[in-house]
Amino acid sequence: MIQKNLHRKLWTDCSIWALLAAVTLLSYALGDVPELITWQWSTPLIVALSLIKCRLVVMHFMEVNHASRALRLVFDGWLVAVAGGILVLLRA
Amino acid sequence: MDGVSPHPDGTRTPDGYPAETGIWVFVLGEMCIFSLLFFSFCHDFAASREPFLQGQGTLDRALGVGYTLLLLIGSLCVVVALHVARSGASRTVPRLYLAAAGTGILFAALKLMEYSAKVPQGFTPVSTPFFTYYYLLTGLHMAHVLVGVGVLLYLYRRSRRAHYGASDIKVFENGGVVWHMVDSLWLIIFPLLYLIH
Repeated sequence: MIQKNLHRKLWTDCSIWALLAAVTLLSYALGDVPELITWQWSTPLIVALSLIKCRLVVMHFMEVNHASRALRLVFDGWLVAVAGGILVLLRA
Repeated sequence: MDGVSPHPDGTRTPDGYPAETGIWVFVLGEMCIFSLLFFSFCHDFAASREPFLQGQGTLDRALGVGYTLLLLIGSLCVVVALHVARSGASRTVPRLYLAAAGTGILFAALKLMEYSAKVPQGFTPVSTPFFTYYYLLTGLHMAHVLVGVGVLLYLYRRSRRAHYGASDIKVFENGGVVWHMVDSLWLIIFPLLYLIH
């Protein structure tokens, strides 16, 4: 049972890592290949993708998704504030 | 229910946190300090977009992706080490912490090489506002990487024992949270410095 749980957890860890790596490569493509998307949209998309990656690390790797609701709200609030602040200040 | 999901390994403490409260206070404090720097950077970027884009154009974006993947590999090692440790002591756990520390050392070495290539080209911390932010954000982050490497080396040493008790697991959780914070911050620094327009 313990081994089965461990295998399931390791599978989830690796799947999340693969998703993080894929989104990193997508962000790079958005920033480097102008044909993919207009500049006007690339910055908000890149910022959103980076905050989504950050949330995946916080919730799954830091295990905040298993912590108290208060801690989850604090981190989600921080992520929303940072995303909003960056986009407003960049006037993106 | 108090809104807390039961931890799949049953290791959650009664206060509802996977690591110790003090670690979360430290991590949130660090993240708030960095977010102020992010806001300041974005404000100045919007105010003088062209000079900032010129500075950004001198950076190697592929190298930025390499840094990100390197830190993500380190984070995967750390989270896998914790999950394996919870299932019992294993020779894999110290190896994973050592591998994660290796990614941090490689990250710092590559960053120093990047600095040493930039400075002779005239891109110093006082050359342009973009490079002031570049050295400030990456330098502060690298200091955190080095502290994180120290933490991971401690976890490596501590994980080389025959049995893990609850206190060992708690220490692994604390160290893991610190390392993942270092990774999370880079996930925002990277697009700001290397990708946005």
